[in-house]
Amino acid sequence: MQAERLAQRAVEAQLAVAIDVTFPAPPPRAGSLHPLRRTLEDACGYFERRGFAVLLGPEIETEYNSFDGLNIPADHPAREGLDSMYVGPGLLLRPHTSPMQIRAMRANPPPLAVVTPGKAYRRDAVDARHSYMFHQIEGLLVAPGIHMGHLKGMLTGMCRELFGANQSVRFRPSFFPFTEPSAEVDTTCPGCAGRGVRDNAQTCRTCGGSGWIELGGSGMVHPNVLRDAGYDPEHVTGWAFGVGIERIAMVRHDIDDIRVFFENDPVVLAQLA
Amino acid sequence: MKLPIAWLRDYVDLALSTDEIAERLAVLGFPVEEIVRRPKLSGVKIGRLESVAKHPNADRLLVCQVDVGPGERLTIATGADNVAEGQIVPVATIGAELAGLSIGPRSMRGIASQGMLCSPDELGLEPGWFDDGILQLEQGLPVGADFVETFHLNDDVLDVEITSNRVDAMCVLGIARELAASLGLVLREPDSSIPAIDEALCDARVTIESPDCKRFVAQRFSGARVATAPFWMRVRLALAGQRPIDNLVDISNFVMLETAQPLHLYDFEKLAGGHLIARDAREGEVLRTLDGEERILDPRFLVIADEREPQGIAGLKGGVASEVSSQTRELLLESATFTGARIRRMSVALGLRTEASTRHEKGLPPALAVVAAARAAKLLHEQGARAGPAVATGEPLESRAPIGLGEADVRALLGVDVSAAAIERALQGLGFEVRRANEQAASGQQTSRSFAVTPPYWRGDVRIREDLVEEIARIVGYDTIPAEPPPVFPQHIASTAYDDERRTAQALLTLGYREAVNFSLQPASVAEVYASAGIAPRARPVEVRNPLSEDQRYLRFSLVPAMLAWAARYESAEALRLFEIGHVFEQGSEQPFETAMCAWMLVRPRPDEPPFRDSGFLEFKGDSLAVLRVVSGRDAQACSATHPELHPGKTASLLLDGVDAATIGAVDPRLIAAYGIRNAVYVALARMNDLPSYHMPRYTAPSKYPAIARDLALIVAPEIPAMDVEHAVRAGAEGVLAAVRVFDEYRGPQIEDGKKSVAVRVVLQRADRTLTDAEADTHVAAILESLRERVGAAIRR
Repeated sequence: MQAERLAQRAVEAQLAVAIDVTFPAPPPRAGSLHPLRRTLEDACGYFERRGFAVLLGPEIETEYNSFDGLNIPADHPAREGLDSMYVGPGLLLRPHTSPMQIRAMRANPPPLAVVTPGKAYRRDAVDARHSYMFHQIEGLLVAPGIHMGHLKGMLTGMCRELFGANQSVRFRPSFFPFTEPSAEVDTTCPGCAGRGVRDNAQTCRTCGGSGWIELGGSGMVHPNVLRDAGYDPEHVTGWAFGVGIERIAMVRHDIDDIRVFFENDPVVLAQLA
Repeated sequence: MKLPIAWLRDYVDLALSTDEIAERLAVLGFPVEEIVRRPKLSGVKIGRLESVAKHPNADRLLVCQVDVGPGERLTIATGADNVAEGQIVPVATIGAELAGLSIGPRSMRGIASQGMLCSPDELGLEPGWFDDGILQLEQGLPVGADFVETFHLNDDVLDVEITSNRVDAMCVLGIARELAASLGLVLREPDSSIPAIDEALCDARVTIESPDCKRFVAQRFSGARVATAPFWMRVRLALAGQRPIDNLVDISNFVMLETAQPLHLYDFEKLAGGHLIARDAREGEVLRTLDGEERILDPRFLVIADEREPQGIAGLKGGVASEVSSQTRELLLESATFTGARIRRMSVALGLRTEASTRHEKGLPPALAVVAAARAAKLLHEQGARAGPAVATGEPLESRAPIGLGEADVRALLGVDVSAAAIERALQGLGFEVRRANEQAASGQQTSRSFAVTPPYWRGDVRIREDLVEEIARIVGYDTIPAEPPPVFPQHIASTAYDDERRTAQALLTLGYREAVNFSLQPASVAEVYASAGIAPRARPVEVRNPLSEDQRYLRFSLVPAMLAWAARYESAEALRLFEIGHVFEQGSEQPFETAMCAWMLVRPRPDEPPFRDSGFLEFKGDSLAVLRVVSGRDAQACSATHPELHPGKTASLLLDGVDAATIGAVDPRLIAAYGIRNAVYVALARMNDLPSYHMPRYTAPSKYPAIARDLALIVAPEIPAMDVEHAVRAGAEGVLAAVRVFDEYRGPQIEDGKKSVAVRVVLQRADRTLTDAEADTHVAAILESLRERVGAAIRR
């Protein structure tokens, strides 16, 4: 009896103790992916689950793969927007990830479904909105019966994966020598749900009030590009797109200065983990 | 391109608001970068100054009687000094709203002024581009009419982006055509009819000596005098961003902005031989261009010369020698087409871009030259000039073959059905000629119509079926394209490199490493810091031939410098862990090449410990082995190694089944010092292409029987590595060894000079039965014997 009471009292004494559960925990040893890789993996993941392979490629490219093979011959005005840095005769830092379209088609017969993320470079100064080095994801689907509706479908799915279930995608006519028809790709601005104003009635600073954000370029692969890569444009059609990762990650994390990504401030890396 | 909506209205009746027009243009592929909102003016009339007299009470004021329509006469005092009887001027009446001010009745030194004569800036016009003082209008305008409505002055201006393939849309008429097609409206072509051509006015000659001048339309004019252009033309030019100069210059600019065809007017009497020659410049030829620059030319440049010397650089800039002046009576008009690429190269070589060159370099259609000349002739005729016949020299005009297009092609590319009627309507609206080919039965009962489509001369960009489909899509609207999932196709392309990056990044993040992305370009100073620290970078760096700045001159040869700079910047009392996966570059003998690398780094304060021990290294080694374990499914072995960026005595290779998977070590102290880092820094480097493949780990049943652990204290020579001690233990305990681990090392008092003490834990266990103490003793004795034989170890007493 006595022993039982003592045991009972001991239990009660244990239960009577209370600690301060709000006392800060010691910091865990936590690692993280860079926000650009996170966005890149989320985008690639969407395509991987739908049967696309992910290919990486070189950052030093030939002029042929960067321009001529993409239906941009020398002196073509479209080269103007692709101001490049050269590292040797006919060799440059790729100004877009589009050369991977050529590499992928040369190495594999159709049907072909690939996304190719990576760095690209343009001869540009670094400021809040520009960086000479940036990341893109290029997507390419070539097979019989592929049309532009499939492009819109996949880009809509990607945007929903990246920004949320209510995203829609808008195409606007544009010009890229390696696609025809060509389209600029916009998606609903997640900063204001497409309304152009934020909840505080201020103009949305993410989209500048338009309700849309620009993601990149896209279109049906030009028959010349298919032919040059050894595909027969009478038997297959395909689409390609290229979107900027920095822009997407900036919108997702509400970042207004692209340099944040390349400073690697440990406080910020922890914040965005 | 600045596009005044007022000007668009000359060709198409738009019933849309500014924002609706901007939206429609975006849908057509011409995004509006900026809407320049015009001040909303009202109450301004066209007036005629009936009389101008001195103000009775003020020397600097004038009092005008102004006719502003039948029976309406206003008394207006003004301080302007450019007014005179008979002038036609804009008059703001009482209640008028101007740019930034409202007009009310007011008394000026005792005279009740019933309005105001307007200056250009009060009307929202660029002040320096029009008359100083009161804006002067030409005679013949309807006195009393609403000034703002007459000239659509309240219409906004759109700044439109034109893609480089659409030179035909780099003009007001081109955009008007697009809007008309999209809205189903009628396009009013500008009037180019003149009553009579003076056939005798044909004393000019043109010779084309270069294939890069495709077509040259020349036309003589006589009798025009330099004057101020009519206000409707001046205001259109000004709103489009072009400063009005005089009637003749303005006409050539007006026609360029209207039709996209640049024109040039020469003072014909200054042209030697009355002869223009399109030819390559000769080495060293000099031309003073209209901007006052002296240009020294060479054969890269295409010039328009007379029989003596160049009179202009083709497509770029005219020359001063034959410039039209107030003395000019005889004119020669040039409307020419050049090879776009040649003009572009010339523009780059001169560092000169003009409104003309931005159009020429995109390749203007040769058939446009004569159309633009006719339009200029009409406008010059209105300025009193007699026109000679337009004479075209150069290649014959291309006659374009029709492009075949099937209804099914549209569906195949867009994924949406567009009816044959809608296809026809879309293309015809844009000026394409569409003929229906025979109807053919396609699959099933459906019939697919096909067409033969001939693009208009101005659409050189449309060459193939796919181009036509884009035109149709623009007019029916890209928003009709559905969003559909594509079919899934089997394919067998491996994502190896990407998967390797992912699992490496995943392993590092699990161990507490944060990922960084650093710039690939760096200044020369990075290699200089290495050199000054006595570190020879392994590779010759790759140099960018055309860097924008010195900071972007070299491609990085290693991931380490940026990580060290980061360590210096964010150094603290806490341990920091960072990794990066990226390419490094090196200049080979033939060409540059690149290697995908992964680097990870630990930065931590140095503990107080003897020099033979580096606990930071061991911690980092533990992390690194764990990374390789996750990546490969196997345990790596460390062995001593060297690397140029690492401490020669604190570097190891991590081997997986004998293959080098990573190099790890403490960073060379000279580099640490060069970067001003106080903490200890450890770095691992792995080539992504050599990353070990993953081996699925195999199962071994754990023993059910108890294990016996023994700690051995040994004395060995200091150069004996722990790995050798462990090997010796293994060799002596075949079949019963569950684990062996060297867990301490000591040098100093109590240990004889030239020796070190190591402590080893040995765990013995059998898989089939319980091991007795006596058996364990026997095994330990065998282990000690092996240790003595293999590494000369003695038991520490």
